[in-house]
Amino acid sequence: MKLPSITGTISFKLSALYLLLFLCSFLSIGIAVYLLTNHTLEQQLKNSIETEAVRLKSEFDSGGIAELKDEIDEVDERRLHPLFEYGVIDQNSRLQAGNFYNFQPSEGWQTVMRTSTADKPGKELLYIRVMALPNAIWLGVIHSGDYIQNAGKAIIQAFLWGFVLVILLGAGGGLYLSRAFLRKIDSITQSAQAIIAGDLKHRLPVSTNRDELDNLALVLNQMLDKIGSLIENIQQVSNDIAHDLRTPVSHLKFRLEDALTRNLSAEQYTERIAFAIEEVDTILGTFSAMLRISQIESGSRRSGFKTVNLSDIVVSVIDALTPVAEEQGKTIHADIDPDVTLTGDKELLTQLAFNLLDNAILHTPINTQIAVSLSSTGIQTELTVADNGPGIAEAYRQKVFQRFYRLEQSRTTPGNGLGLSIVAAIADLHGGTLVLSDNNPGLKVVLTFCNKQSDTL
Amino acid sequence: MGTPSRLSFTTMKILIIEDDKETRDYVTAGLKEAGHTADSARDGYEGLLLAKEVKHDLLIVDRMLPGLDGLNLVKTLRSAGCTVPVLFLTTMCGIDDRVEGLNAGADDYLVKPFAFSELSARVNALLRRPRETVEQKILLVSGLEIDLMKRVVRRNGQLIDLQPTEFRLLEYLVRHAGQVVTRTMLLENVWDFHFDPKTNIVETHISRLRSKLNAGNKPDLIQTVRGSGYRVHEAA
Repeated sequence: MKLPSITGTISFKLSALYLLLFLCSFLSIGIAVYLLTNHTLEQQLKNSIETEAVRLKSEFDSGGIAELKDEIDEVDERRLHPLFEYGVIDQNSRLQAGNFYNFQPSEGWQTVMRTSTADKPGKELLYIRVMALPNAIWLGVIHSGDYIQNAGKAIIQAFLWGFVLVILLGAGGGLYLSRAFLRKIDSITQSAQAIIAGDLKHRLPVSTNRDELDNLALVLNQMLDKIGSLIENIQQVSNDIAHDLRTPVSHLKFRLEDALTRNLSAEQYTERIAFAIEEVDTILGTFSAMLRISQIESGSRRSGFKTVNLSDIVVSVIDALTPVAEEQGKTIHADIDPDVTLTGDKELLTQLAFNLLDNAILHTPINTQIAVSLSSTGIQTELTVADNGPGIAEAYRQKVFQRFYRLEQSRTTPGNGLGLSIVAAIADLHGGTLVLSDNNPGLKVVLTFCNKQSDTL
Repeated sequence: MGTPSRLSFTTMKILIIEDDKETRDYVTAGLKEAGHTADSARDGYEGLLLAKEVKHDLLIVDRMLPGLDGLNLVKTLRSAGCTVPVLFLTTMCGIDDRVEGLNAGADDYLVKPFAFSELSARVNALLRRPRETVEQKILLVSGLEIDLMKRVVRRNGQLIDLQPTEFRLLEYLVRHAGQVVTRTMLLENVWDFHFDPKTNIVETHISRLRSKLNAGNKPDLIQTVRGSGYRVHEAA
């Protein structure tokens, strides 16, 4: 599998997107700072120009043009306000006082761009407050706006450097992150390839960081564990098939070969064929029981779950098996609460109840008392099948649920060792728990369903 | 197939839709031997065409077919208003197939691999079905009288006390009088058990029923058909 190039990784694309967004916001902040600074500085400048103009106007008001001229000359001479320049012009723009006349004779603010002068190279923006005085003369107070422009330039420059820095850091960081991400993906890919190649015990690497990828790897590892146990289960089944079906099939083969080599009468052949068919039926029965278990275990039947009357099911099973028990000299005592319901599969629950009771009848000696009870507390439903037979030693109680497992004492009774496996699978499908315990004497099987749980299944 | 059952049925026209040649030939040969005529089709489309063109008394349809599968074939036939009885053949691992098949409109199902005697018994039961449409209140057979309303049984006028299960068992046997009824058919229809119980409960219940029916050395009404099942003879 080919890994994507760094620029193609999700983390790179994400960091590029973040970088772009960050740059956009950075740019808007820059523009805002620039405009705000510009505006504030301009306002400050205008205020100081206005103050100066108002001061000079009051000079004019008190002493006329002569007083104003004297004041301007004095300020200039003594360089009291070295940054200010002044000019008083008449309506023909002739200079009456001061030394600056390059403004329009009209009340208000004006700006003028001054080209290079001897003491100041480069263009210079001038802010001018023009005040109309009586007798058609105008006072102009001029101040350079240079420093506003300089401040603006400084701001733009600072932001430009910042911009470059952000791009470098962003791209570098993005690349670094992507590479780290890619490395991680790479190691996961390699692990996956190792698993594909057949190393089923291999697991995905999980770092101590516990990031999203680690969580994903953890979940995938759990999935692999589950798959592993299922595969093991399948292998177990194939081993079981190989072991437990080979024996009856080879017996059948011996018998058929034997029949072939002997010179038998037609009746004897018929008998042998009937026997062979019976044998094949047993084998097929084992097959179908195994397939049934695997279908139950697959959980597909859960979709067809309905509310079923467990009491009716248990009663019908007791009804079906009572004559069998009586025939074998065993007694069934039933204590069934009416109308106990459960969410489940009627057919499977019938088989479950049947197998449990059938086992109790099949694997106990004559005169055994078997007690079947069903009760529900609303929270949980309990089905109990207890007998006073020989029971099962504690060490074997879990083993009897294994496929094909048969206790030494029951090897001679008919059966395929799958009855309780089916029971266990059905109980599991319905979220029930099966517990085997000592009935002092005998065996007690208790199957418990949690009603709440079965509703959510 | 015993001779009596062959005689008790008129010739029926049966269509087998099955892709496995071995099964198809086995079923066809068996049905012909039993006195029926049998057509066969190898896939769903061929089967559907034949079923629509020629009027059959019964269809035997494999669940898994190339082309059109059995389930859709039956659905198509049913939606076209075709009411011919259908017997489904399913593989043994498909435990959900039965419900699906019956829901699609099939009348019965049989799990593969099956014994021909089982198929034959079910075919006969299905072919018999239309004659039973009139609701009977009392079944009469060889001196046996079953009152379905009062749920009482009399033999030669003598009341026989039966348990509910025994009554249902007898009712099913008598309703299929003259036919072979298999153990599986009884399990499914009398007990509603759709699995193969290890313990032969049918045999035990039949023997109880027999002892009650035959009390006082009367001739046995229920005949055991070796390797197939049981049969109650039609009116003697």
